[in-house]
Amino acid sequence: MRHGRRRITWQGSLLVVGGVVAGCALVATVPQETVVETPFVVEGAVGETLDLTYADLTVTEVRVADTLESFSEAAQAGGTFVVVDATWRATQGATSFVGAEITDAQDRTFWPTDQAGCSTSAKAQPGYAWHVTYCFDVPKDALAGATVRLARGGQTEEHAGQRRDAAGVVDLGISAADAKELWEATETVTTESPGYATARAEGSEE
Amino acid sequence: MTTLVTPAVPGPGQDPYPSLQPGGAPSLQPGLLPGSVPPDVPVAGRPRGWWRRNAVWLVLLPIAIVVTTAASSFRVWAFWWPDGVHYESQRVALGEPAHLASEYLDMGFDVPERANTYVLRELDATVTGVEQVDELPAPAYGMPVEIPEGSVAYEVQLHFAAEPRTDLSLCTIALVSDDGTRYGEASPDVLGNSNRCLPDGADGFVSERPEWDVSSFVLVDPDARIEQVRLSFGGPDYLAVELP
Repeated sequence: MRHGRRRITWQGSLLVVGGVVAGCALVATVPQETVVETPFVVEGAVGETLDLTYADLTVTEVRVADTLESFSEAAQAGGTFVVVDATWRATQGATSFVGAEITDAQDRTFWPTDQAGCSTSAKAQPGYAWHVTYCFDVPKDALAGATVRLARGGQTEEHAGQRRDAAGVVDLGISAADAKELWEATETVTTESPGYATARAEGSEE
Repeated sequence: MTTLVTPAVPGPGQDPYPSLQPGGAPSLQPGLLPGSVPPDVPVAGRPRGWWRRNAVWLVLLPIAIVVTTAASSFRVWAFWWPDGVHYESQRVALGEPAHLASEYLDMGFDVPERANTYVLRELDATVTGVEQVDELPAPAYGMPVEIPEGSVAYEVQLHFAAEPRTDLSLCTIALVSDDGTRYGEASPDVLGNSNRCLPDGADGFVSERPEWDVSSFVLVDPDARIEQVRLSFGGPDYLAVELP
């Protein structure tokens, strides 16, 4: 084995510098995050059935309430409750649907509450449609332009659970004028337990 | 430590270093004074290349890769292999009996003397029929269940034979359609029964008789073509029963 000083050659220097330049160019030019990691977002509207590959998702109804009631509990909103009724129909196998959040026009996100019988996640198998009610406590200025994002992957750690996977984003259809009206109304919604969806609640099949 | 010895001047008629110049020291190169340390003599020929200098490591590298892979391979059986139902251990036709034997760690819930021991579960299972039904039977516990709109229900009939007190927990009966969709793979079933390999309303998860029949009900999409029944006990292996 040879000991002592190693000779620095221009070929070696070129190899190192060239490798670093090529690596930087690769990272800078290839949009790796958007290509590899961004979830496959399927957008839709209330009443529309979205094909998320692993399930068919339908947001059947969106309501706003100050108070939620279940058979054993009542909950008062800090802002107002956005109550999102949805049905999941799994298409591959038994699936847990963990992700649920509302994003407002300012890109703020709100996670669901489990108060008064509301669900924060769901489980379903192929062969039937499963009805779930999600409830979100949001401030007044979050209503207009809000969307709900539902998926089997969770939204924690910047949607890490949804990477390379489908997520449904549904526009709640609340305009600025609607938001003012909805905020001033005092409504009470009685929540339903999760269960088999009826044809009325399942919404349109495309 | 190097000791230089300057030889004595040879006497007449005695020339031990005949090739040397007269008056020159034998260990010195020309131009060096006595007591000087000569510089390293460069090695003759071409210097050894990178591959030759690192030959030992190049030989050891594949060995190291094999050793590292083997050392971390415990993850395959510790984490990946036991997870899920993914290994088809047997395939039989409808009505054909299959002998199932697999080892599991008994927690002793139903048979305390088997707690924390590995037990061989052996049983003969036969899927005797799979047919669509118009209504679901009343469950042993809870309210009657109607077939939801947008679904059809299948009844899977099975016959089992095993030593009494065979543990049948984690039993799963799934229907697989031609597009690979797995129906009913998670418990409980549509009737709320988590103990699907024992008669409805059975007390505990161990068998009581040497032979018995069960019916399991599964909700399926109306347009699905069911091709296979899968029977498993927590995986990773399962029995596949092909339907005609």
